[in-house]
This record gives sequence, structure tokens and C-alpha cells, in this order.
Amino acid sequence: MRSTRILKQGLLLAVCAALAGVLAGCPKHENLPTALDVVEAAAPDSFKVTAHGIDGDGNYDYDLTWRIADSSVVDRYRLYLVGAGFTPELVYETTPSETDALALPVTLPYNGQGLQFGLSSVSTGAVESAMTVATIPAYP
Amino acid sequence: MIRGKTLRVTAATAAAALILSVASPAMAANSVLLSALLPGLGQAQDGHYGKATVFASAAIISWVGLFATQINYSRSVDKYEAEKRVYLGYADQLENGTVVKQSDIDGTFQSMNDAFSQADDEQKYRDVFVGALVVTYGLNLVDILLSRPNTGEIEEPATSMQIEKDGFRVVRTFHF
Repeated sequence: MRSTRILKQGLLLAVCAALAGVLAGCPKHENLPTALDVVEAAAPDSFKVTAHGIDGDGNYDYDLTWRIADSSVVDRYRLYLVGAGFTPELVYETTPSETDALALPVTLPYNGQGLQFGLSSVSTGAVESAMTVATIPAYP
Repeated sequence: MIRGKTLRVTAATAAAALILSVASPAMAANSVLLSALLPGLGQAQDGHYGKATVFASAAIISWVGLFATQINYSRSVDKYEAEKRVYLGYADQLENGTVVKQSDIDGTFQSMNDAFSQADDEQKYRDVFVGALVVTYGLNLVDILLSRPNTGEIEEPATSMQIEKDGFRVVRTFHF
């Protein structure tokens, strides 16, 4: 009789332990990270592409100009060519002097009419803003 | 991450023990053991088929629900962990000076929050079935331990009256 009672008690403990194990062994979702403290730069605006015609070597010259609401945390700008491939292609990053000038002369070996230039700013914290797009106009 | 390993091991152990109990007459004779393996089995062994059906149905529904919700919850947790890894990876990239798009950071943060909320919901559903399973097993074991097996014999009442020729006799029976 004593052995039966021990068996029953042991069995109850085993069942409780198994159920507790199910609860404890399940994966948990926890430690939701807080938002990263990033240095975010404003996106460029008033982005314009001006066509200057064909130079002596047969290349197509363009001038890019833009404005920025707050340039204090802008480290550089990134220029993309949009429409030539499936995704925008990074073609250039401005130098410090070009960054301050808010202008960039661009020469293409082909007529870029119909394509687009995309411009984004990169903050001093290496965070890239949204891209502002301007269409390449017809050359005069 | 365990990813339900304990759950699978527990289920496999329970199934193996159930097969063992069926195979072993000595174990099968113990209705408490059977009920501990699957609620209702012990009651069926004792001849209480109504209670057996109720307990077995509740246990099966709870187990199936627990497995289904556990799978969904594990998927949600995996998704959340994946988004979290990507998000924390951005912090490392920024520290190394690698340029990261603000839209990627914002998008991943949003996805991570959504996955966390979804995991929260899935966990609630799973906990409902865990609770149902605990209650089912608890009631089942209490029932099987408190009830006596129905052997088909008519029990002699504890107190009875026997008619004699010149009167009657009250008999009190004691069981030891």
C-alpha cells in the first residue's frame, strides 16, 4: 500500500514537473530594444538638374543644385542615377567643398534625358536620409 | 533558443509511457497512472465512461490547441528575434561608420515592434491552452484519486436493518 501511495505521489509530481517544463522551456519574447539614438540629417530639397549642352569631347554637362533645411549635421551628399537599372545606382559622394557649395557639376558620356538623379544626405552619424529625385532635362 | 524542444520531449515521453502502460498489464491496472498519462483513461478503466469522455475530450482539445498555438508563438518569437538582430546590427554598423539608411532603421524598428506585439498576442492564446491543460489534468487527477473504481459489485450499505422473527437488528459495517 505504501509503495502505491509513493507511486501516486511521484506520478503527480512528474505530471506537474512536465507541465512546468513545457511552460519554462518555451521560447520567450523579451528585451524589446529601445530606439537607436541616431544623428539624422534632413533630406535635400529644391533639387534641380540643369543641362548645359554637349562639350567639345561629346559629353553631356549638367549642373545639380539643391538646398538643405539644416546643414549642421550633414557630412556629405550621395548622388544616385535612377532609372538606368533595377535599383538606384550610387554614382558619387560629394567632397567637403562640394558639400558646402550645395552644387555639383556632372558630366555624362551619354544623353541622360529621361533618367533621374537622386540625392540624399549622410549625417555625421552615418545615417542616410531619404532620397530626393530630379529628372534630367533635355539638352539645349 | 529551445523552440518547443521541451514540449516535443514531453509529448514523446507521454506517448512512450502510454504505449508502455498499454503493453504492461501491471501498469494498465493502475487507473491513476493511466489518468496521469491521458485524462479520462483511468476513469474509463474504472467504468466511468461519461467522465472519461469529458476529461479525454478536454485533454485532447487542450493538447492540440497548445501545440498549434505554441507553433504560432515560436514563429512569432523567431520573427521578432530576426528583426531584433537586424536592428541591433544597425547600431554596430553605425559605430563602424557604415552608412545606414534612415528608412531601413525606421522600417526595421516598426517590423520589430509589430513582431513583438504579435508574439504578445500569440503568447496569450498559448497560455489559455496551457491553463486549460493544467485545469484538466488537475481535476482529472483529483477525480481519479477521490473516486473508487466501479467493479460492478453491489456494496453493502454501512448501516442496514435486518428483520428478525421477534424484532429487527441494526447492523453497522466497518471497513478496514
